[in-house]
Amino acid sequence: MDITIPEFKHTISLKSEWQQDFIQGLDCTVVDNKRIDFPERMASGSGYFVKISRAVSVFIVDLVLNEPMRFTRMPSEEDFWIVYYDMSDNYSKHFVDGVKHKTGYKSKLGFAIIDSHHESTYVSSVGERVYSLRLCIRKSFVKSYFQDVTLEKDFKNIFDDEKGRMFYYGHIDSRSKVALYNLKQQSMNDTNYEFLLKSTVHKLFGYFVERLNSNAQSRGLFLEKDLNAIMKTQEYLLSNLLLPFPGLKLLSEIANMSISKYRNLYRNVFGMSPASFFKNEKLILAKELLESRNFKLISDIAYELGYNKISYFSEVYKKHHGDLPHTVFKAKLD
Amino acid sequence: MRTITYSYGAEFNLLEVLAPAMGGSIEGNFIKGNNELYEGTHFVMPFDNRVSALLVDATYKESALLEYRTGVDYFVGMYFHVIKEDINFIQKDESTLVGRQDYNLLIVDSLLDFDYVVDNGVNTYVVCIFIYKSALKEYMDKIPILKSLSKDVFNAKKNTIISMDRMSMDSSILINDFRKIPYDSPLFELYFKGLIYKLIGNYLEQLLTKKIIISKVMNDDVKSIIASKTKLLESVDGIFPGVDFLAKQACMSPSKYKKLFTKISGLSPGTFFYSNKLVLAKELLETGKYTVSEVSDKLNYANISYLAKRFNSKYGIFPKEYQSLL
Repeated sequence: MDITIPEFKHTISLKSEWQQDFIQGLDCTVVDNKRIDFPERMASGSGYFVKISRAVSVFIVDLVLNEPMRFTRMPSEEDFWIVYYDMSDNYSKHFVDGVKHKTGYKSKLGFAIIDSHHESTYVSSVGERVYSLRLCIRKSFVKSYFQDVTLEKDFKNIFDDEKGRMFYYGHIDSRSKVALYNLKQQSMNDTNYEFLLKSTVHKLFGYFVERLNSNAQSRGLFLEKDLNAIMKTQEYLLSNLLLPFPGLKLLSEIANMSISKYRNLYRNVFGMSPASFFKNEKLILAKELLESRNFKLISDIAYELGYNKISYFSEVYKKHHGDLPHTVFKAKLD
Repeated sequence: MRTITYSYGAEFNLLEVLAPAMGGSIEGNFIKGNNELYEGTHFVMPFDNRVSALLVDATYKESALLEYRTGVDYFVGMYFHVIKEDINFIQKDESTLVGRQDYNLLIVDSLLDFDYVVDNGVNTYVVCIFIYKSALKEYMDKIPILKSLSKDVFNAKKNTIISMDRMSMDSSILINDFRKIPYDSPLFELYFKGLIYKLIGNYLEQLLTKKIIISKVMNDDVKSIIASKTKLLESVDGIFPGVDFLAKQACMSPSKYKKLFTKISGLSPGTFFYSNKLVLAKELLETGKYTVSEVSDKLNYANISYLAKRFNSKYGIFPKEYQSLL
């Protein structure tokens, strides 16, 4: 952290009293108890604070710094989360407990959840537009939305109070990004800004809860159509286990994809390559055949499965199942 | 024809008024009903002591006359209609059509009694916002152009508020988006609140910019513009037919068509068409069934990069990214 930059320490809480810090410390003026105008020598722009309900409040900052400044939020006694969306034009640096994170519109990580017990520092570059929105949500309020649903892996530890003092970084999801982008176009001086802000906050909170709630982590990562195509090739492989591996070219043609797209997608969906999947299935079938007593010789099974050399078959079989085909075959015969 | 009378007022006791009048059963803030008169859902949401909202989603099984009686003078109702067919709005023996091709935003003083005539089989989806006049006056006072006006407008002796208008495109997109949320979603209330705030915000903006001005009597020109707008929306996946063609269809000169269109929708025909295309593109991407290039083909974009460029300038995010981060 660059400690030569002057630091301004402030608190944030669910109630509006903390605005005093900005008035006393930075000579800000507060309009309507909501909008906080910064003095011109320091930054041009404003902050906007609205209490949405007893459990939720929002603080939004839209400014261009005219002199370097570090904003450090002091740990708070109140038990809430700060859900943080950063849509700044450029990278900003965010320090939580001394760990640096890059946030901003261009950065993939514009979304963060920070426990109010943590201290965090926000540093952005002079002359760039900073646009960030913080939702302060009382923990007990979020929990009320989760009675018997399992949480997404990423967030799992958050509700655990032992480990709970943690933070999470991620991307802003699409719908929130669109909502924030719309809000970004509005001016804080407009009379209807409060309504637009409140509306956006309700939406964001909804999306946030949905995100916490969604079990299907990969939803949206794969197109349904692509998945169907992949499944089709999978079926093709399973019904042609006795033949040699057909090759990626044929499979990708069945799926109507390029080879590289097919290979990557297959790997992402099943966690292995089509070839290893095919081999695994073949060897499982081999075991069934060995135990079925329909064959007199192991070599018959090996030929049936498309292996030309019995020794190779034995070797592969042992690698996969742990013992030689011979052992299984004998045990069944006896 | 069945006659149903709602007399509400004083404490916004909508739940107790609506349920017996319609014959539905109360479940939390919902009233659900399925009887010989209608099938549908009402949702009541009090905000603070000066604002409350009501959602009506009902399909009538027989023709009905709905009478709204309040008898108090301190609030204003804003009614946003999303209806395919037309319904008749009657006030002081004067009947007006409300629907997709006519007015769909009504602002009515609580002092005024009014009726709706709803035909058999008509689905009505109405978002109603009730605001105390004192609250609305505060907001309007903050807008410089309206300040001088608000004194007279809110003087009950001089004036009763009634205005018929069309909601902005943004508002209708919002309501349509909102309709996708199922009633049993735990987040329903939350999104509903979000919708209401945005609708109020949009309406104030509409007042501010004064882009949409329709005189009380809607003339034939305006009607044919609205009809042509509806047609345009139906063919939004095609190519833009051009103002000349549209004007010819509406029997107007191109310059008149363009001028009127812009006045009514706040957007020029082209901008209106292309922004609706993008809305559709966004919806298609959300379904997860199509790739970006398929969407671009489906909507007749010349190439993906053009779609991506327009999408990004409207929503601030590229389509591929939008899809993968959903």
